[in-house]
Amino acid sequence: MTLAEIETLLVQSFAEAKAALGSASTPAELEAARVQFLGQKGFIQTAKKSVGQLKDVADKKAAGKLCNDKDRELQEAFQQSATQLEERAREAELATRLDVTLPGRRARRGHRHPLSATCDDILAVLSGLGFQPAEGPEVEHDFYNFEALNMPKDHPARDMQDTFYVQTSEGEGDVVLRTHTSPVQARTMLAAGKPPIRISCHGRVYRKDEDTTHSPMFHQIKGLYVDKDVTFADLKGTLQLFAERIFVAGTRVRLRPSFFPFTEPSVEVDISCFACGGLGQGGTSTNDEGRCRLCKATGFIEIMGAGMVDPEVFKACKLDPDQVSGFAFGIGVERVAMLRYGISDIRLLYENDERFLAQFPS
Amino acid sequence: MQVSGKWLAELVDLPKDTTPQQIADKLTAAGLEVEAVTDLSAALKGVIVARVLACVAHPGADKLKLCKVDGGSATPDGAVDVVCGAANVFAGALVCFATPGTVLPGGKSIAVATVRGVTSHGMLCSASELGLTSSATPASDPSSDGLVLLPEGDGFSIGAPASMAIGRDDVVYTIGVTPNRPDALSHLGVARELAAAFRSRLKAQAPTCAERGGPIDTLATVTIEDVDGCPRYACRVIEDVVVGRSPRHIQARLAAVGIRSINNIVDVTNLVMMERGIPLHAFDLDKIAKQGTRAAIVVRDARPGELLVTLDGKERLLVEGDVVIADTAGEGRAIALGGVMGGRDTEVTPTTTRILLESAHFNAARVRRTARRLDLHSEASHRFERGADPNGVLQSLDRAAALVAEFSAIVMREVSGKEPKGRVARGVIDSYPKKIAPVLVTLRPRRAAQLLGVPPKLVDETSASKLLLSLGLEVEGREAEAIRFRVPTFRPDLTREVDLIEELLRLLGMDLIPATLPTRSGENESVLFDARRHRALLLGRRALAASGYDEAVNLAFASPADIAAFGATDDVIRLKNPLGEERSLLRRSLLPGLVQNVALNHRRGISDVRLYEAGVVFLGRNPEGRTPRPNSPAGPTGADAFAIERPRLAGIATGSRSPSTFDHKAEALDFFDVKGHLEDLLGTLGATGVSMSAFEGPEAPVFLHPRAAARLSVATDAGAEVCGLVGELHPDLAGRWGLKNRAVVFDLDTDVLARATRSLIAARPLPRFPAVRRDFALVVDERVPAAVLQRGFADNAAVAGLLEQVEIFDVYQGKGVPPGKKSVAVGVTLRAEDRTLTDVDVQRLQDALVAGAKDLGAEVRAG
Repeated sequence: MTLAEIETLLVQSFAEAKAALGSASTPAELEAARVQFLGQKGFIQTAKKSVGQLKDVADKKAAGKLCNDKDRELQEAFQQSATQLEERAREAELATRLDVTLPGRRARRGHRHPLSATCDDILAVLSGLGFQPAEGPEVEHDFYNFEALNMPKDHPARDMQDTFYVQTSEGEGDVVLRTHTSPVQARTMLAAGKPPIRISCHGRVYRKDEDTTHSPMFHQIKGLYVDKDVTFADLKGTLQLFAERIFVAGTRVRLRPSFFPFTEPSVEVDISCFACGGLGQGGTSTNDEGRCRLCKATGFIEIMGAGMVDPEVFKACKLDPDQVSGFAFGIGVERVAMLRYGISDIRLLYENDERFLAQFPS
Repeated sequence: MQVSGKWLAELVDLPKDTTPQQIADKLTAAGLEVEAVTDLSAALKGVIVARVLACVAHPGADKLKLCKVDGGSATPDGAVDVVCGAANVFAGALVCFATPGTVLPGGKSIAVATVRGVTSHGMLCSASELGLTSSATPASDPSSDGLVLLPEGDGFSIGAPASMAIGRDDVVYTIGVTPNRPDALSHLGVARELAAAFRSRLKAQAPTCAERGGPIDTLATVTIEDVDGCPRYACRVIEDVVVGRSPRHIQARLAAVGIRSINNIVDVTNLVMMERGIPLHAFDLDKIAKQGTRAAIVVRDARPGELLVTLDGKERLLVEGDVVIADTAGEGRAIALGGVMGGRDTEVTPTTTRILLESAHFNAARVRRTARRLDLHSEASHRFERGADPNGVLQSLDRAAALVAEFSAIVMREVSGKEPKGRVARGVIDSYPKKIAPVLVTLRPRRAAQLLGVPPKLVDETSASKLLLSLGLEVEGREAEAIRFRVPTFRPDLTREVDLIEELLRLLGMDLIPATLPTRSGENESVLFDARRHRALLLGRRALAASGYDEAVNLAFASPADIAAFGATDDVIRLKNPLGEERSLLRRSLLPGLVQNVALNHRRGISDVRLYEAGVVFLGRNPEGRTPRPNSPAGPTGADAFAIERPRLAGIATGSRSPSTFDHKAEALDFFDVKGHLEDLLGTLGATGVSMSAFEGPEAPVFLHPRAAARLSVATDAGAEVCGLVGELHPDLAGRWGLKNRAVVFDLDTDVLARATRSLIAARPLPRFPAVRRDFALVVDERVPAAVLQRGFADNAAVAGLLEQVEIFDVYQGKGVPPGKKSVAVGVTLRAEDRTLTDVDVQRLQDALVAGAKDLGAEVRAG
């Protein structure tokens, strides 16, 4: 190409190129225009290659300058256009609106079963009071479940706990599904051999009983404290603190004499109703007449059994009742969970319906 | 135990105006828990005594009558019209009239109503409408369900509440009596508690009995052969008795405490039992075999195979150990089961004229064994097995004999208007070969104060004695700082000092006890607790919750089908007395429960379910656990457990991988999701050496899909240990158990998890030099597990210390890959701790890795 031809090419194509770069309405159009005019096969490059072939130095210089000027001008036009498009795009994006009311995307999270969560809470409270957790077999010898706990064979107290018996071979003693976690107390006393013993025995227990408030398998936690000079007053104080920490501050404890073969004296423990504050009416769980449903308007809820360890239990567990004393108390985990969460049918706890479980914390 | 308020009032002086609620509160505070207070008259509110003035046929109905009823003040505008359908209504009858607005015990509401065109202003009531058993009412004809007709001349005023007229003006306390308190199974016992609680006293109760008959020696003899089973047997004979209905107030009294009236004789035995706690039995003397003129009673151990038809009409097969009352018919015939139930052959019937009345004491354990074996729990056995008072036998006998005579006389007078009959024979037979003396118990007041944690003054000698005397104990003597008490035999629960201390606590009341906290704080470690397992579960639960698993709790029972589906075995713990076949075994695996939970959720339309459960399974019998070994060192810690109990952590997942959203459709989760969950879990525990391998051939569990069944192992102190399994639930099983979708399950040994849990984790510094990544495509036989390739790279000696990660990021089969082969893309990250790897280094390592892969039979496609 001659100088004149180069100049013509640059001038003619320049207008077209500038228009194309300036009028591009999308980044894609702009990029297409850039490739078409400024790319390796665009007229600027074509012109630049031709410049190199010019013989005349002056021509070369003039054509080179013209090339560079047009190139720069078009590069600037490209930049300007690109900036404009970016700004426009930003403005357009800023003008858009998400429907923020659409549901968020959530990862699936699992939930703790109310029974195991309640059990852990109780164990944590007891741990704070110095009671260490203890566990033992669920299929238990009659000895640990009954005899060591002052319930010899043919004792009417055995009727208090309807028992599942396990098949054994000829000539073997009775074996039961433990009816309470107290055998763990007996095992611990026998194994430890000396006080102090301060344990919380938790786990599954079994009784042949089934309705809306009884399950043939349920969970129990029993506390045991054995030492020198443990008193009934200590039991009362411990129960008071325990009740406040499990339920709400200000919970009052009421003791009533009762009977358990493994404790003497024995008491039933009632707590002031946390729904009505012990008033029997008003509060968070009332019937149509304004009376408290949770405590059946009595102001109190029966929650556990307790007592001073019976001397016969100490003897069976190789401790000297003249040297040590102790107290024990037992609480049903189901009962606490049902009270806490307002569950009226115990069977809900074992169905494992996802909708039921999903109501509880992780 | 149902206790009548009217009855109690006859036995104890209570402060004036004591309300039923105050009585209930006192009893509950004393340990006799009152479960319900029922005002019997409340159920009959609105029912009044009324007079039928006139009675004519209903104009519109054959079987109905139209009555004019005068209710006194309850019908202020004069007699009202009442339509009545009862056959026994007549003009002049004294009736129970339910006025409009009344709600009868059955729940029926009474209103003014129009019956066949006539307005009826209430209803005349029958016994059943009043909620009475027919035999407990004073209706003249017990066989009809007609109106209750009140007797004339008993001073009922028209318009007065009917409850009083029919003996329902009473308050009944339902008491939950604990098994240690047989004394509280009687009105006298409850009255005694009330007397102590109110600091009041019992009214005098010394039964006497006028003896107007012949000498008893000519009528009966008693021989006790089984002194262990029957330490005492006493009886009286009453002649010329007339069997009939008990007096009205007696029937009402029995009804109030839940006992059906039978006849005047049986009612007396029940009445005295409810009053004094000692069960009695009445025989028809003439049905007992005689020796000469005398009915010969023999109390003996039952003979094996001996038969007796009891009062309930059932034939009972007796065994040695049962105590029988026998006569001398033939070889000696059992006529009653001692302490449990009488026999039908010697039962009192309407034709009976002579009664042998038994009052005895039976061995508690023997009665209990018999009652349990025969599943025959009577009011009598209930009391004897808890311990009736052996020394109250005679008073009860005298009281009952006097009442039999009295009630016989009443029946005689009512039926024939003739002279009273019923003569108690002179004398008592009282065979008491093994006298049961009151127990002496020593109380140290200081010990009481010490155990209770109260100021010594509260239970010093003076106050302790005063409190215990109020329960009927007597001071037998004193020692240094101790008092010896004689405990009456009606309190068999008081045998030790601690029992007396409990009585002091009951009588003082709980409010007087201070609340303190134990002050000693000795070292104290639980010997029966595995803290490592506890920690592994804590972490495992956290990880599973983060992976979306809800925690499940299932009952530990299993059915034979559950066991069979998860690998049949005979090594199962079986229950002797299960709640049905479906719950007759103990679970060997947590999976059946979880699968059933998912099936339940699927039935309820919930398809996305992830559940896990932590609990023990029962793997058959422990060979070391035949007998308890409390005295061996390891026994109590669990070595002597009867069953092999293993803690497991198992789970199931089904449904979508992540919840579907408005712009993203959910995908079904699969094996690799659950494998990932387990890797996260093990990562949370800090476990190392995690590896999985497919089950081969017959070792594959039957409940898993053969294509996805893997064994999981981890590194523990013991080396590499199998920790459990993971796999897709077998589709046959899933279908059979009602699952709607594929499910993936895992089942882990919690103890292995515990051993794999690391408590200390050493933090590494961040790398200081850059890493280099190289990707390889390896074409291998499709059966070569990815882990083999991965391990091949990881174990290559050339990269030792430089290999940071080997990642499998693609597996491809299809176009470009020969059949039977697969292309596995592996990304390798290399890094040196102390320098930047050069191109030369990297090339050398890459060549070594390629060579290694070729040794594994792989064709390397790209580098």
